[in-house]
Amino acid sequence: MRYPILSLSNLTEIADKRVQDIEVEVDPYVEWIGSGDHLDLVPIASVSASIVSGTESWSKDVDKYEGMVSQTLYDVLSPLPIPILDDRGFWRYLSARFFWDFIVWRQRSSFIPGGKYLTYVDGAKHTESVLVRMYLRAAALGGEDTSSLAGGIDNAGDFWRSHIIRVQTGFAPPLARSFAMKQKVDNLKTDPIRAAAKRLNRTWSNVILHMYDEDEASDIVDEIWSID
Amino acid sequence: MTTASRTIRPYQGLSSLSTVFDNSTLHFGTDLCYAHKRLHVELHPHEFLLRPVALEWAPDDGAFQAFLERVRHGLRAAELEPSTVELVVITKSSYLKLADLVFRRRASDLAALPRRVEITRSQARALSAPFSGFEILVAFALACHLPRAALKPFRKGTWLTRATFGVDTRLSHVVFSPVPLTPEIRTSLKIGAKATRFIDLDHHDITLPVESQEEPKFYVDAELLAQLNVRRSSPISKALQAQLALDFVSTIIRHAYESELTGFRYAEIRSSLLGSVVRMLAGESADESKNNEMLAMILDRPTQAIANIEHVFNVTKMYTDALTSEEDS
Repeated sequence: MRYPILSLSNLTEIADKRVQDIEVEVDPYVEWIGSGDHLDLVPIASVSASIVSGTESWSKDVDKYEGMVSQTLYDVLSPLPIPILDDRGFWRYLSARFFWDFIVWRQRSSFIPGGKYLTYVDGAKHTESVLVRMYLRAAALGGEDTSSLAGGIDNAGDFWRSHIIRVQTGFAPPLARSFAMKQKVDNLKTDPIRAAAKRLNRTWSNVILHMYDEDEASDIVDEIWSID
Repeated sequence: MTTASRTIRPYQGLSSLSTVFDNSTLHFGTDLCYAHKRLHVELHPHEFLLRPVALEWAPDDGAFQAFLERVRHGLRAAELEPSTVELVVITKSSYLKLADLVFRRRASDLAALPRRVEITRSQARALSAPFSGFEILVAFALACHLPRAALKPFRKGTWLTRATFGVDTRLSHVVFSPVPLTPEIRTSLKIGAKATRFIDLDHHDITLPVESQEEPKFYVDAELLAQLNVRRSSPISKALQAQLALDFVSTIIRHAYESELTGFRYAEIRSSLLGSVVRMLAGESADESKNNEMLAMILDRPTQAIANIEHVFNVTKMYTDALTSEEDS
């Protein structure tokens, strides 16, 4: 399949201009790669319009909104071939072409001249780049109707970044679901959730938790949670 | 300024199993990757996707019988019933967090184990990640929970022996992304209010691939970091950024030295944080011999390595520019 990408240097040029309020069209910078049929971008454009418009009436925790719409993003992207999703250039294209306004809304304080705005659009780090981390948040939960959980934890940006996506738990949906469910109910503060996550990470050192089903994952999270 | 910890394996009786995968190989097309090693390939995505992938437990039939016997002997020595243990194969790719358990076989059924196991892309999504590469974990692990007993593994999934095979398609980069050191984090880490930075390697193993584990955290005073970002092009900001980067890399070098790492070759740590530091010292175009030379410098003469990193960063010029700009203003 042929699909669009943006090089890092082109993205940087576009981003640098936009944060200075200079209008830039993305299409002249785009390169199509691969072979066969062109990727149909209409469904992605439609999802982006709905996500962007939803921000206009949202006045609550911005991470909650990010979590809630993670599922929508996942649903439109997950049918794509894995090699496309593995290409950082494709995420850069999506960020600049369709989701720029949403990402600026989400990370407003960084989108100023001299700010660290590139981190959120360059696709390089899956814990920071907004679209990639959204996709992975839904994927870590198993990818099926996860919006109530993905967007169900208060002030959870660091929870998802540090305790799910950045670590092994993000590889194991039953475990990520159990861990997030527990946090949704208990809403532990920074120190206790950090301690619980460390205990889970240490368990990964000795135990292959990929082998755990839903009930087993739930049991081990309960056990880890109950240790003082 | 740093914290570090090591994995504790509180089990006895597993030593006989520890080397069972040493003769196993991963076939990636015509390339071979040995247990505990990583293969680096430069391929177009379509070439990457066409390569067949297979695991071979032993190089020939005789060695395979010896492999099976070593497993059986190891389980007897560990006093574990073969029916409670299974051989598992898990494929992983870090960027998209893809993991699939693609093969499992009870140790009681090893007689039916083929010497070679083909792994297809329909069962292993990680093999379709041409820009990130993949890792394959093989292990003998407990297939079920066992009664708790002192110094014995009991939890389902506890690995008794394991090996990884890595296929890298791009070089990892040094992780240098400072995190704001906020009052809340200071309290949590027990750091005084006037401290400007803290490097937390935590569980990060500097010899293993960066993307397969939690990144080290480099905390920098939140206000200082904000000022550096706003003035990132100013000579003073550049000098301070260089100093912070130098502190971070120096910490990795000292940690490598203090961990008494021995016997490592560059090829084994290419995708790790330590591998990135070696490339900084040697230059991206350096050959294998030069990279090994720089690795040896880090492990044997860390102060010399740190001084040479200063040279690479051209710190003197940044300091001079900063001081000159101060005089001009």
